[in-house]
Amino acid sequence: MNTIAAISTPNAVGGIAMIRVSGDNAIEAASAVFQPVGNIKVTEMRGYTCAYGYITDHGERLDDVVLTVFRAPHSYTGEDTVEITCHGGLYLSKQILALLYRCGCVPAGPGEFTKRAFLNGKLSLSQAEAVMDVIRADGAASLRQANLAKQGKMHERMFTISNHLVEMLSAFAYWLDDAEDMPPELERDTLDNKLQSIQHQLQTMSDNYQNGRILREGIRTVLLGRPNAGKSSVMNWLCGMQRSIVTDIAGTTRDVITEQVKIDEYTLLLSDTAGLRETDNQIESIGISQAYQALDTADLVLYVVDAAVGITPEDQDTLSKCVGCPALVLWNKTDLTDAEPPALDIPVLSISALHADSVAPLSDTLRKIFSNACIPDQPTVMNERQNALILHAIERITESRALLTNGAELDMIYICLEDAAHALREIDGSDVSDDVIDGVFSKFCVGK
Amino acid sequence: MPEIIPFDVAVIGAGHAGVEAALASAKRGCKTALFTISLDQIGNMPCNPSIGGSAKGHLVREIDALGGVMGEAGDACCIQMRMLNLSKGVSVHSPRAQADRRAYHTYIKKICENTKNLQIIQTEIADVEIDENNRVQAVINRFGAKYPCKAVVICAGTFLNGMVYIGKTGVESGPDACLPARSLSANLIKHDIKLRRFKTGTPCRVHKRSIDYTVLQPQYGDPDPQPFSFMAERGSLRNEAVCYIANTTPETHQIIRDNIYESPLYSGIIHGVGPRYCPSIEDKVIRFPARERHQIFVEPTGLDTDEMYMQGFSTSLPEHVQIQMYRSIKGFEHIEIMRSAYAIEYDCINPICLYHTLGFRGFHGLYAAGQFNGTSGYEEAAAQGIIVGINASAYVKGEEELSLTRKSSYIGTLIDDLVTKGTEDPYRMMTARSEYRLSLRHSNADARLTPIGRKYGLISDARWSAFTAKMERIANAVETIKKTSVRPDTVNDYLERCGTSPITQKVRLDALIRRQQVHCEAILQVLGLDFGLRGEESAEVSHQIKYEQYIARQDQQNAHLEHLEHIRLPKDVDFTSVHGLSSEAVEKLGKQTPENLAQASRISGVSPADIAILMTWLKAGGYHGE
Repeated sequence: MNTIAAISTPNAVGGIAMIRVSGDNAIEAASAVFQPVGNIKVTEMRGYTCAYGYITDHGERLDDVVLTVFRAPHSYTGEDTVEITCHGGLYLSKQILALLYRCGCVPAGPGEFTKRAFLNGKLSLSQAEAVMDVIRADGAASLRQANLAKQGKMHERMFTISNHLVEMLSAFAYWLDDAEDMPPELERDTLDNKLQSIQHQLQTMSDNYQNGRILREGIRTVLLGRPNAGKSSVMNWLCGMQRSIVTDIAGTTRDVITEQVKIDEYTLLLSDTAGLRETDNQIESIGISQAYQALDTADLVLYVVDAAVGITPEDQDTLSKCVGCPALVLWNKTDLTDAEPPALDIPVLSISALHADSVAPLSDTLRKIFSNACIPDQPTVMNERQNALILHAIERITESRALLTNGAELDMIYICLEDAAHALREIDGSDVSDDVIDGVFSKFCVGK
Repeated sequence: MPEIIPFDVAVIGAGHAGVEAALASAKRGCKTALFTISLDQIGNMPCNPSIGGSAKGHLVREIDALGGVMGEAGDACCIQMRMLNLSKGVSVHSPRAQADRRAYHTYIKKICENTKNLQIIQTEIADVEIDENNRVQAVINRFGAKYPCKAVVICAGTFLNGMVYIGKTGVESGPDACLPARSLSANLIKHDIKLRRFKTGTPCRVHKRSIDYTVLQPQYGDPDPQPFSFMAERGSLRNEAVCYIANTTPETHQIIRDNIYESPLYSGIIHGVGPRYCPSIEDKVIRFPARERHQIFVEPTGLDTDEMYMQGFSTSLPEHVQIQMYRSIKGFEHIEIMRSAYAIEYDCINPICLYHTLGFRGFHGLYAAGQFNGTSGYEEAAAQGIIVGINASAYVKGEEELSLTRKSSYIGTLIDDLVTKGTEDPYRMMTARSEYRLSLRHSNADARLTPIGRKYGLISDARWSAFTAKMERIANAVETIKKTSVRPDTVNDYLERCGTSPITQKVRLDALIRRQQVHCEAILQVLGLDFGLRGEESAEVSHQIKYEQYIARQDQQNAHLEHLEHIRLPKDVDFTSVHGLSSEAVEKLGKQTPENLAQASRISGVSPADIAILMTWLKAGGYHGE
């Protein structure tokens, strides 16, 4: 069996999170991302043993974790299994998961761990169903209930879209076969228009997922500002703890530090960045380029300005680069100066990060900026797995459309579209022809 | 009374299934009897005078690849050959021939007459004698004569209790005014074989001179027609016949609607189920009310006859309505009908009572093929015929019987569909029925099936060595192309000429061939690469390269199915002892005894949960037999 991985703890912020990896290469994959403390080799660990160490990505430490090894058949699934217990941020656990995917693991389908346990004779079907009930009971007690209700609607919507595609496929198949009593010739243009419409609907669902993600998973927030403007103090103010090293030496923060903080209904996924300045220091310049990278995927920029220094042309320059997402200027160190903030076309908030005892002013501003962000009324996919399947379908449809334009053979195009349809049917759980026994477990959450 | 020497295999019916079955059995060394109600109807085409067509052309080439006769006879009696679906991709290209109907009969009869071990006998078989161990003993004719035999193949076509309807009048008849078989059905029922009624129909034959061709659209054969048989030389086919296309009018449709109460089907006289994919004109008009016209193809039934076949216009409305319908169509105003259209209703089985070998469950030595199994079409019949001929003779010889996989062929797909899902209407092959469409090209049928035909003794030494040489040439070409890199200066002229971007550095040749605009044969010529490929071979090389990634995707989609294919179910499982199976699954699995989980998963009433339970049960060692 191929090796599957998923986050097994709930899709919410918590103290710790657990990532489960199961399959023939589970231990090998885990050893590729895990650097143990001490003289231990993961591949030589015996079953039921733990190791402490770091998850590293190209040498960069993401988190310190505990890794537990289970050897087949003595595991939940009956296969070689590794459980990685990390700190409970969604962002962090997803990064670790992404690393595992890069090492050859594939996303686990709904209930796939339990399905494997079942297939390997570790559970009876009724035991498997009991596991499902427990998961459902958890869901009822949590926020996820609302999501589940929406998921029903999402399935309806998904079903409609995938039905469009399947109808198109069967018309296509019929037309491929029917040489004699021909229906009106299927025009490449007509096909392309239909595909475009389906692609658009799928794109909307994926976009809605991204929008909903801001509330469900948090706002990817980047702290920017010139060196020593007080970004790390802002970080600590928001976190209420000493996370970044605060000194008055410019250039102290050289890497992107991530943290998540809850501000009323919002979760900020904070990246503190190296101060932006021209520098000869190699390490620092890597930090700066990482800061700009973080900007690419950011939902919000908090731009910290030292009130005593004011807005410099450099600041203007950087702010003008923050075009993809909302930005907020934090007019910092107001305890040291009476300088009034300048009038800008982006919101400005005056604070003293070192001495502030409340984040209330920030949460008011956030509410103004993200008044549009909401769990979309339009039903949408609810998790990365589903979104990945949608993106897969979009990719295949895009490929089909390119093939259509290229004048490629229609039977080639058919196989691409069939692949897209498979992906969509996997989302709404109606695909039992290809992956027969998955049907039984389609009600499971991923990771169980 | 002198004792009759027993036969090994007795084949009942000499249509397209019976002929392939008898020839395969005889060629494999079994003493074979081929029984027919009329020696003048062996290999008859009571419906359309054509062989092949969409997906059916694939079947003909597969039959040929296995060592059957239909492709060879189709080529010999071809009067027009076309490759269908040329614009839609190579996997759905399908050859179709207009055949000279009488010539085809004569050709097939001659082959049967000249085949060692094969005896053709004109008589109506009325019963199959089966002993208390359910072992076949003999067949018995209408007059009580007994022909002892070890195996029986029923290829009764549409003859069993055949009833021909024109309008509301039904008469007992087989197809083409043959005598029907009136006794066999009752005796099969006596052996506990369940029968049901299907119906099919055929359009008019009209006189050539009564059509105004100037208002019809002519349709000619291909300029360089591709024969069915892998043994045939290109350029050997006759190809001079012309077909014509006419269209029905709103007036035609009105006439049909006004007279629909005269139809034996719509008035409820016929209960048999008709073919969904080959509907009568009244079915088309009623089911697709929005369509303003339907096409009619006017096809010659031979070169030395004036009868023209009206493809697409089958009906069971009374003759006076048929005439009116024709008169409403441009070009048919003065039509002279020579044979009226009719519907025929007949007894057949639900094929889920068969194994994949096409042997009856619960019997030893009893087999069936063709329309009797619930299919429609000559090609579907012949496809089953060759398999059943192989298997009845294998049974007699004590050899392992053949069951083709879905992945191997359309024949395998056809039989698997029949025996696992059954069919609710006469089954017609379509490329959409195969999840392996991209790899089941008509042009690689030999690569897929000739080794199997060889194993069962149907491929001569000469053919086998020609085949292996061909496979080597193709494999060598594909392999070399994949290992060859080309420099920009050698191909850029060509690339620009065919409208694709030039290359800037060395590129692998197969990558270039994969480009839409690049023609494999042409680029090989430009590069001066000659692999000595002949006939279809260079096209085959091109398909293998151009389709490689798409076939890989197809196979990936089917991987799970194949996994289930490899989990075998022992033959004597007591499904009632498997805890947790639904009662419907227990019943269906017990009755159909699938050989593996993939087959089990296709049986209606067996749910994914049932498959999961079986899988665990097998893995947990729930089964301790075998």
